[in-house]
Amino acid sequence: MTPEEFGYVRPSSLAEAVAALAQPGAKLLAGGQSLLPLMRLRFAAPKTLVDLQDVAELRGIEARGEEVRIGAFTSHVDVAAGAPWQALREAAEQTGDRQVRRLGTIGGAVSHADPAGDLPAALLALGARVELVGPEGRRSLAIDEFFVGPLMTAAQENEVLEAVFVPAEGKGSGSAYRKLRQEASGFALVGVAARLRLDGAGRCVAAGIGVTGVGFTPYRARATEELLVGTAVSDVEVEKALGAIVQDIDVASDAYASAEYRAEMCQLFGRQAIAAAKAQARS
Amino acid sequence: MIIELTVNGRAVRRDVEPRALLVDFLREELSLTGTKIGCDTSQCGACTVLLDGHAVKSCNMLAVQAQGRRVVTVEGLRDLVPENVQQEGLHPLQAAFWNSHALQCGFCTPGMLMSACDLLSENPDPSDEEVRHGLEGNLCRCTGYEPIVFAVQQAGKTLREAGLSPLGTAREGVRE
Repeated sequence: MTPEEFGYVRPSSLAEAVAALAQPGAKLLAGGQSLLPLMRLRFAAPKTLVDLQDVAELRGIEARGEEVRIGAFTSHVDVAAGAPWQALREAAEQTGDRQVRRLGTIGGAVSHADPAGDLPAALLALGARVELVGPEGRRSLAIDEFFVGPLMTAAQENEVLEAVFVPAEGKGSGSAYRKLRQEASGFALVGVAARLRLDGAGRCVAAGIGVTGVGFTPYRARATEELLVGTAVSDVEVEKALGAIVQDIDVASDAYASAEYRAEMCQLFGRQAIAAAKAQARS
Repeated sequence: MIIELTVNGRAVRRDVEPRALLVDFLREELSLTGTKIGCDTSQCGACTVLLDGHAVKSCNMLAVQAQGRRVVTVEGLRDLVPENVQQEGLHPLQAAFWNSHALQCGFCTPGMLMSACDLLSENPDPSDEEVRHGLEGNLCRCTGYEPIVFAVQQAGKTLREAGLSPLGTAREGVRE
């Protein structure tokens, strides 16, 4: 179906984009791989689309001190090829399909805030943050404060998500993303991203666990993280930590998977992600 | 609004509504009906075209987004390679699909060809698994995919022997 009528502007700078977004009913268009399907089904009908493809400030991956900045308009293909952290690259590579990954962007995927999105799980595990720019200036928000509900974020309607920042990969670090695909849609029935940092003796000094497809929003499994820190990440210790992975979560149940099955799959895919992150951290 | 772009090597200038999808623009405005509309949910990939040399779904993109860019549809596929590499007027990918019976009803074929073109330009010699992963955005309801995977690999072989990428650019060091 053809979307409802709308106006179209193509700003060439971030300042112009912020100004265009201030118009009532305006919405940002990045890769369009989530927004255009919604507009075609007429679930969304913005008055104006602000196409970000010419905004250079939103492009590219670069080191910034202790962090790596990933511009919001960076495509999944480019994240899969050039982002730090294996978990992030694996999540990008498992998002959508080849054509979707070419046009779809990290900023778009994060802003769409699908409760089963792949990239959010990896970004949560990495302890990423986002920078938003609006008429009142710039602000930074931790990624776990960004997802507030299904398809809902903490961004204001007049703010542009400019970039995602992830910590630089330190020595002894490793990460991975493992996912159970819904075969028809490719979305995660369950997806778990793990990040570990081990000291010279193989003891876990930092852990991040991001889970998608399971709760109301993608979330950070903090209880599991806490149970991993200080351990040698042995099978028994991992088992115990994963016992808390759906703690305080209202686990989703639908035609594809019951809550019980999802919780069980969190254990399985969590175990795989942690094992892969551990192997990397040691190498 | 007025857009200018290149379609199959030709400069095109047209007045379009912002809401026109690229696939509708190609089919209705330019009469390039080789690009198909197979679903309404951006899942089937029958509408796949090349945008600046990469496969994208033209149903999931606005015509205005293609302003200033290069689009190749299945009608322009064979002209990407020189005539001496074409087989009876077909691109090696089209010839391989023909020779391997990699289609039954043929509706998904244009999209399969364009996705395969993108895949082979990145990976000249893909394994079965790599072809399947590369074509996961294209659905075929007839063939069961086996002959499609085979055809893509055959086309890859032909192109390697010719020292060419499927986009027609010379490829060093892959000639067998």
